[in-house]
Amino acid sequence: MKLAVIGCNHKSAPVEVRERLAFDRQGAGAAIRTLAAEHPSWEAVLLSTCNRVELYIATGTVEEAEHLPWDPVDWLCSYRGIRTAEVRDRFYRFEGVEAVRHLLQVASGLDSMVLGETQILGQVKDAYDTARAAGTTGPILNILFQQAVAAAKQVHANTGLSRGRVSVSSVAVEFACQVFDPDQFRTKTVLLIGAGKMGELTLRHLIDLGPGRLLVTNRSPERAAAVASRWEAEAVPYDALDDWLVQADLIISTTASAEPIVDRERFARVMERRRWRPVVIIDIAVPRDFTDDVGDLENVYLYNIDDLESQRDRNLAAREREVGRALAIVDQMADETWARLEYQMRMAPVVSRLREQIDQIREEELRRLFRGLPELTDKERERIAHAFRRFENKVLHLPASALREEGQNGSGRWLLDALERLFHLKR
Amino acid sequence: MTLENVRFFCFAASYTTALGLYFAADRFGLPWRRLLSIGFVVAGLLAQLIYMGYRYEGGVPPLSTLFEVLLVVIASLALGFIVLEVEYPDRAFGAFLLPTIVALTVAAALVGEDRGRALPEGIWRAWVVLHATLLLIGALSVSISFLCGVMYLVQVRRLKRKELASAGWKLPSLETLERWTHTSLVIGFPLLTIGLGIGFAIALALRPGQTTLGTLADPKVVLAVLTWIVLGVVVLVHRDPKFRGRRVAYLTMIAFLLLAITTVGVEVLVPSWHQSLPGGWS
Repeated sequence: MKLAVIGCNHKSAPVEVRERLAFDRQGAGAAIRTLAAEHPSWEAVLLSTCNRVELYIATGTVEEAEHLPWDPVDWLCSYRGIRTAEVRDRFYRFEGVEAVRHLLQVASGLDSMVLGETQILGQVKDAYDTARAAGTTGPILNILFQQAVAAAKQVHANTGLSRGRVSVSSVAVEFACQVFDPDQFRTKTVLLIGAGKMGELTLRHLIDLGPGRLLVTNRSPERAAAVASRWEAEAVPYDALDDWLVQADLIISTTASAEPIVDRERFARVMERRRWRPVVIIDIAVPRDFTDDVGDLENVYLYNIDDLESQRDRNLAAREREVGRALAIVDQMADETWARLEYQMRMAPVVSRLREQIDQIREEELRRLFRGLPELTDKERERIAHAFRRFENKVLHLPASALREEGQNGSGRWLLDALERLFHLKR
Repeated sequence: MTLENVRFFCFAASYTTALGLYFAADRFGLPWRRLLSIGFVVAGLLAQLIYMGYRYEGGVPPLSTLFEVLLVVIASLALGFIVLEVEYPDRAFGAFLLPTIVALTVAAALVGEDRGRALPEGIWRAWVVLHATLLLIGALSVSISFLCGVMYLVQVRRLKRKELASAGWKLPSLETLERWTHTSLVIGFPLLTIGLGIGFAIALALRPGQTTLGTLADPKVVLAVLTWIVLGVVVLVHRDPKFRGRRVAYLTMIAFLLLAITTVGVEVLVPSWHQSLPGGWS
């Protein structure tokens, strides 16, 4: 038996290659069903996300793995209708313990484009569920994927690899949540000034918190109305900007103005009118819409794009510092998992050979018996043969169970050795 | 070793160790910091409760002296620390609660164990107990508002410096801290007012030879009245949006410091007729 993974990811292949190879959930299920139809004894899981396409395979026997002229890259490319030569050098291939280590790293977010992101764990679980539904998983990939999920959870719980927001818009929302209680967001008013893409992205994060009122203003009323309709917000006139500044608790500013639109004096007057109620200003416009000294006013929390990016970089750096600890967990679990898989891979052929040998003995003994008792009818012969089979199954059940149990504990090698010696099962 | 040997030092050392471990977070990693400091605080609290139990059996009931009052406050804060650390593991409540617990333990050590006196007999006993209980709950509320005020200032400082706290060192939002400060003040101020009023009535009744002016001129009474006025101002300005934010937090801290001086400082440093009253009430 052999375990291998072939695939390409954001580091090895550009998006043009990845998008040609990518599968949706249904497509992945269909692909591995096709593979299983060609090789019924194989196990397969196809993991396809926007950043990677990977095929995990556990082949049925050593002979199949070593002697079949089968190339998984070739198979995947032909399935997707791509010439292998075009993309072969974009693929990586890991076998054995390295394949295990790779999946554990992937599931933990160590191999992700955004280090430590947790979405990949859900995608790994989805890929495994799809394969289970397609009937293409077995003892090897079941253990492998369950261990990958366990490793990811351990990494997330025991390291800071996934802590801290790592996108500018989510950092902006986190700043807002440090000023306002997220549970009280329904009482807050959000004002979007301008119609920049980043502003809308930040707005999308904020909407998840359920603000009570959303206002959109723009020099162009048409653009304000267009943005407002996308977000079920109110488009309000730009001429009365100060009025909206007074009402808003959270301001996202993203205009294309060449000069700041609000300075300290103007905003101090706004603060007087709002009776110094706290306000968070996310100024992601470049050039900035609010002068820097607006942030010096009491109860004003002003963040520009550089502030948000610095915090994001600090969060990323903090994640980077956790990589060593995360890798140590992954390495240890990969070794443990590989020991279990190796045992599983070795156990299956031994049990199968033992059964073959006992089958052979049973058949010989039955032939001898039937030769000595020619008066037996076919029905009687069948009943005797059935009894012999049941006897064999019952006798083999106990050692097979013991082997499985020892495999769970990772301490069954001596049993396999003993079985091989006792029954001369070595090949 | 029997339980009778549990001394003040046992829980004082536990709380101090918990404080040290809490701030040694980076060396031990976050889960270890929390587990170890919670463990030491649980051990300290158990030792303290055993110690208080033996003092009660020895004839010194809870709240009967300033020392006993401080023990109750320390135990309440230790319990609060355990609950908050378990409930909100990513928040840095311990960074504020543990130093307060240790500071109060030092204050209790300065006040000393042997200042207990018998409670007055008859009807005054109930009034004295009510006076002490109201002041205790009021002081606890003001302590909570002080802690919230400190957290508020730390949070403002971080946000003005455009920094987010790392995991395990987060604080509640400014809005939440402001609400907690206000709620604890609104609860604490009336209780302190009634408690002080009862205390003044007790003083007049139990010191018949003294004039009202003589009673009022006592440093402890002067400071108590001053604290009450500052707290009243804090409660009033808290209602005015113009004074919200840092100003209220600073005022709350001043009120707490005055309260600390009135209760512990005067007890330790200045002679007061208060100490000669039955019970030595704070």
